[in-house]
Amino acid sequence: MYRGEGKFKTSARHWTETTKKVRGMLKDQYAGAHTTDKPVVWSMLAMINELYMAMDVYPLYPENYAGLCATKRVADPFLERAQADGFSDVCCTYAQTGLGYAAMCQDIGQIPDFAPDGGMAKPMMLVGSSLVCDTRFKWFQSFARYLDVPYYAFDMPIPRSMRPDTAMGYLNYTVEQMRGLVEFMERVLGKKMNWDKLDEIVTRTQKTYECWYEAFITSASAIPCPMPAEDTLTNFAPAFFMTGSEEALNFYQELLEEVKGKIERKEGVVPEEKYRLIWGSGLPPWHTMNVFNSVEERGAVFVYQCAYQPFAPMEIPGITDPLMRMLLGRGLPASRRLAREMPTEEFSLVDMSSPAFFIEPFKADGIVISMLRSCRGTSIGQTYLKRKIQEQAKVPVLILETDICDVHAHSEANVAARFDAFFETLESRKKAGAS
Amino acid sequence: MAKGLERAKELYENRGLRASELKDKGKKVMGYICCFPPIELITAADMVPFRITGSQEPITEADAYLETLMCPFVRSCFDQGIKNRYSFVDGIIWPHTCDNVEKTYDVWKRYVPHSFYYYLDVPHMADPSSFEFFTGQLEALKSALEKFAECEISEQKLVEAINIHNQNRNLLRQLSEFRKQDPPLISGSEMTQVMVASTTIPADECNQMLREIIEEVEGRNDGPEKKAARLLVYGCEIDDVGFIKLVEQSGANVVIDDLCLGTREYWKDIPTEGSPIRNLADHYLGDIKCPRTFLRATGTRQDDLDNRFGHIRDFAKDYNANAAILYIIQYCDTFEFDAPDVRDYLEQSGIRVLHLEDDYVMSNVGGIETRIQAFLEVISNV
Ligand code: SF4
Ligand code: SF4
Repeated sequence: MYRGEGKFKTSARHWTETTKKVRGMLKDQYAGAHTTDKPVVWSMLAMINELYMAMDVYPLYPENYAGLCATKRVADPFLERAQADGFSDVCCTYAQTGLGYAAMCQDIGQIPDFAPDGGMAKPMMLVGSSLVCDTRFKWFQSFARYLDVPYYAFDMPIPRSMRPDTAMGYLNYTVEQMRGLVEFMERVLGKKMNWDKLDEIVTRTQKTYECWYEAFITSASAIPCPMPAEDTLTNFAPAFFMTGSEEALNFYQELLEEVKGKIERKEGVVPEEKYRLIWGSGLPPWHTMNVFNSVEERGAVFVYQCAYQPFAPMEIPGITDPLMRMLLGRGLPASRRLAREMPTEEFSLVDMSSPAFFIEPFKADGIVISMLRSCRGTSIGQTYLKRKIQEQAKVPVLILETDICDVHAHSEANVAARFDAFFETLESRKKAGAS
Repeated sequence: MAKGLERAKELYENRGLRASELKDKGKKVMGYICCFPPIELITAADMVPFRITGSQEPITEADAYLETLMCPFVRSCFDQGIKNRYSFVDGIIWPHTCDNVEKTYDVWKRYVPHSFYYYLDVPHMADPSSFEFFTGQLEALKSALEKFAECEISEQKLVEAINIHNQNRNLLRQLSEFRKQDPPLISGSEMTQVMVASTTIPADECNQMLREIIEEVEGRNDGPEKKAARLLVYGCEIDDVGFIKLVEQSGANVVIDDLCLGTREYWKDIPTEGSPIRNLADHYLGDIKCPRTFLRATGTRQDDLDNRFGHIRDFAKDYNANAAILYIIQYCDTFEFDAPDVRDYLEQSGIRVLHLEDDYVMSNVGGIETRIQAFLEVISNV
């Protein structure tokens, strides 16, 4: 049932030309790390790429690499290697892939030849953080089993209230933690941070984020939708992994132009959209991304995905500390900017991540949530969200049980059957609505 | 009223017993989960600190609210909550321990009725800025408790509360000393009962109970028998005696632990000099060695491991434990990630290790038992 082009293919087919460039950009990033003079850092995503750029450090993101291994369906040996060392098979499979990779490199004294894109070049340092989940600082701590390089982890707690007194405490603490990272890099590299350069890069990021935000939101709002979730699940990458670079800025400018052109010409993924869907909370099954295309045959399109959403940059006049500017630039989720309001009472983190918010602005008919076996960070709260959305928004919600990298946690037959039932519900709702 | 160990057993089996009685007499009961909420603040506000625990009862209600792929201990707590087993609890303090606890707060707040909910952010890092941030969090918690309890938590009251809880810790350490003998004078499962019981009653009553227990244990001749192996148990939340009993019935004495309801709670006192709130922050963030708190590596890899796990090795040495069991609750990520390092570290220190991953209620009790028996056989042949 999948739209494989030629040979059996499990990756997604993309609809925007700009998106097709991402694969090459990332390939270059991995390849470049083997030849660069710059020190290589392995980093967890914590939206601090600008710090690396300003310090002339070459970043690689093992979680992205793990996703790549899954897409190429070569994650298994890495998962097995990590498990052989005693890591549980329920640990985040990004982590297992990364740990297994590092362990295998140590075992054989070189990068395994099946590692995609030539593998990840050996790092000089590691950086993790507590943003999003516990795995993000624990996993990198475990790297010390295989890599004898300095490691810095920093805190990025999320406030549960935007009351200025509460929120400022969080912001100040996080900035102090980021300053700790700068000092760490200064120590390891034996050179000072160039704050002016950082400030310039942060300004470029803000522009990049504006284009990114506009491209994603206008596309999701447009009928027909020109850029579906399978595209945005790929083309978020420059914003995350190349933040602050000219390349990323150019990329989103181009993407925005393309999206605008398609909207003008009314070019949609599915010309007659029967159902508009949102890929709600949860990361996608990287090993089986053609699942997104599969719904298109039914006249449905995923107009938005909540896994990698654009930030809604905000500048507060008078704030000049580049670290604070960086933080504020990504402090606001897209839903809040669309709603033009910030909650001042204690809010629920789980509710804040709810896809329900996007139903109305994007005229969605249904929500699909991926519940990942190995990820507590994004999975806890999904049952509650489903309950709440069905009670309040009265939109059908489908929960798919799968995993990011472990293909064995994903049953294609089961997923297809779940989609069948889901589309039946959508269909009968449509009929009921029409009559 | 039962005394000593009998009292502990009674409270262990009926955990809300005393707290409900006190509530009926007009006291407020403040619930909390995990080791991180400073219970001294609750005592200082003249409320009863009550630790939320799970149950071995099958989870029947929580499935409709929480995923099966998360910490089964937290799920079990929630199952108890949604079944109204904590209806005598007036409020809860919910710390940011780990992803599981953090996210469950939102679901708990929506579905389990109390009059007071408080989310306490506990930093994952332990840098000077983290202690400062946490001190601020505790100041805010203190104000919220004052408002809820309608009383002022003066510095003097707080110091008194710290003192009384320190006595509590001290008595538990004294009790622990009896585990050094061979055979130990108190079994691991009795110790778990005492630990659980002690988190369900006010600190002064707890001190009274612990004194009785110490006296009783000191003079007893019905203590555990001598067994071939003396074990250390490492892990997170063990609030039921089932697992430890299983180990004890398989032919070993559990003589020391590194558990949340164990030494992790009572090993270190809180200083009473200086700012009490700051002392609480220093203690809860700095002294409790739980993998959810990140300890920055300094020096070599060996230095890092010594810093993170040296205390476990020392426990084993001081209590003459010849082997250790890592009892890891599935989906408890921070422990899952540390487990291979803990295993290797202890083995390199000459301590044999059995690494178990369980679902908190030992659904596969047969499999676990077989592995324990096989392990005991191996270590007794060494
Ligand atoms: S959020 Fe989930 S997938 Fe991402 S690092 Fe954390 S556990 Fe892994
Ligand atoms: S047992 Fe582990 S996962 Fe569960 S609450 Fe404790 S630290 Fe969190």
